[in-house]
Amino acid sequence: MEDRQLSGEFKWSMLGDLNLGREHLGAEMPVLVYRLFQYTMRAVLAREYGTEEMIRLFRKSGELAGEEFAENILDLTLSREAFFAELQEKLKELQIGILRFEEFDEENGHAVLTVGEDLDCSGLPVSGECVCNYDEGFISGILGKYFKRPYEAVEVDCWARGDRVCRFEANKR
Amino acid sequence: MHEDIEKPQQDKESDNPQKEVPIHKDVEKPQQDKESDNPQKEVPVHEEIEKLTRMVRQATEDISQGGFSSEGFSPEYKELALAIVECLKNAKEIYDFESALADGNLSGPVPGRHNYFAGPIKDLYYKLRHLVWQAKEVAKGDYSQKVDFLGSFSDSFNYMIQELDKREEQIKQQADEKVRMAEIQNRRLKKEMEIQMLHYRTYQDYVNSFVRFREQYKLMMGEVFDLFQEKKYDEGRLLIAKINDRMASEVIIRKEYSNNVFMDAAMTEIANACRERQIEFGGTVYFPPEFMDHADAVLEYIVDFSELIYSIMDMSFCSGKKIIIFGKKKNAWFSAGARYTADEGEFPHELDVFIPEETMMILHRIKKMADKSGNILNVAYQPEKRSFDIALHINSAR
Repeated sequence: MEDRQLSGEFKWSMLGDLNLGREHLGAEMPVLVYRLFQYTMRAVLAREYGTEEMIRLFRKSGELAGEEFAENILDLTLSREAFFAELQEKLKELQIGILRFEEFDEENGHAVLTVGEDLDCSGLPVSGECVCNYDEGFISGILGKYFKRPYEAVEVDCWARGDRVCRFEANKR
Repeated sequence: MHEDIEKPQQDKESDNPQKEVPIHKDVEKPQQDKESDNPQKEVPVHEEIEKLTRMVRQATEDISQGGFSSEGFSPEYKELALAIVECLKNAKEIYDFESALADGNLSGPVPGRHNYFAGPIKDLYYKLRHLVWQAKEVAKGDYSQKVDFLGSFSDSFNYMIQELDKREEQIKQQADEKVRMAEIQNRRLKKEMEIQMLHYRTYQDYVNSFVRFREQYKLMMGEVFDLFQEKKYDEGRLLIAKINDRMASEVIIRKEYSNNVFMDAAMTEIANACRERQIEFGGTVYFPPEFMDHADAVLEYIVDFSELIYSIMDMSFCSGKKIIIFGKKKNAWFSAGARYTADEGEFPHELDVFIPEETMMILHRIKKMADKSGNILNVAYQPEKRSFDIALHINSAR
């Protein structure tokens, strides 16, 4: 397992058996802890490699997470409509955010969607910057996996820029 | 600078809004030091504040006109003018956005990221767009869609989807039921027609054989008449006996196989087919009065059953074939069936060799039909006894 992690390989099984390992504490933890983990990592990566590289790495990690999430949690055989409904339901169930699709163009694959109460950014102080780079990658990964074409999601509104909800536009690359 | 502006506005709101004097009076205060240094600037400062005040007032009365500009202000008030103009432009942007929204336009321009005030209304706008999108998905017939965390909107929307789903399911069920009933009706009609045809063909065969024999009969009876005229009574009697024998062998003698007319017709047809193939056929299926209602239900089995019999009739590997039908009552049960035997030739060891593959499907169909209607179908294949039995058991209580 250690070798795998060092070699950059990721497998869903690496997440471990939470029921076995966290018998008393359970599978959940406060969002605060998740954010502490993410924002300290962002800070250190930005310090070490520069902001641009940090953002690229976060998007890339999010994309891998999205692909794995789609592969292991979602049903990729569903119709497009049922898949989006399931995605909405799963993101709510796992408390990642309230996903709402606004648009989807069946022909060119263009999607517009918002994520309310986003795990990464809702409630952050206004900094004027879009911070949901991990989400951008995550959405790209999920859509890319389902449509079997690489996707690129870009955040156009963000809580950290004064908006009340994070909004993304996604297109086939 | 921010505090400088707030003060006069608070005074203004508590006072008569028409009074313009206190505005510049308060604002002037922090400028007093400068003014004492350079008293000539007092008039432009007053004018600039008044100009800004007018701009804000005009915007308050009708923001749709727009035309806010920070041009022409002195460097000292430039920043304040820029801030007020930006604020008013943001307010106008929200006003225009809300107006379009009120007209039902959900695809117009959205206030940009710079407009912090627009956050809540943009949030509402995105939710409305989401509702529109969800409604389109539902319109395509996808009832797995759900709206969450939109208060009473969610409740009503989700309830509507649930009800639509329920209603469509009901309509679908009703339509399916109608199709199913029509199919049953068609099947029944088809079977009845097939049985009628069997009946008709049997009758036709009977008539044809009688017509064929009638001419011979006339000639032979003429001979009998002549023999009697010639007082050759013994020869005449012999000829009559001969006529009777020929009648028995050449004209189909109508035999009754069942007290149910359709069952009888079907059995007659099978009997004729057996005769052509030199297979012995016999027996009767008489329904006791309490089972006569079931007799019609049994008809559904007849056509399939006949097909099954025909397929085993023509098998070349056996001879000395015999088919005996039966109908017997025991307690509350009535059993109708047939026993097939073949005394000579090689009798297959396996049922699926005995019954051809395509006919095996018929057997399964009969079994399925019996299970569905609560009847019991017994199939006994006994190669050691060289027999194949098939019997349908009906309970009078059902």
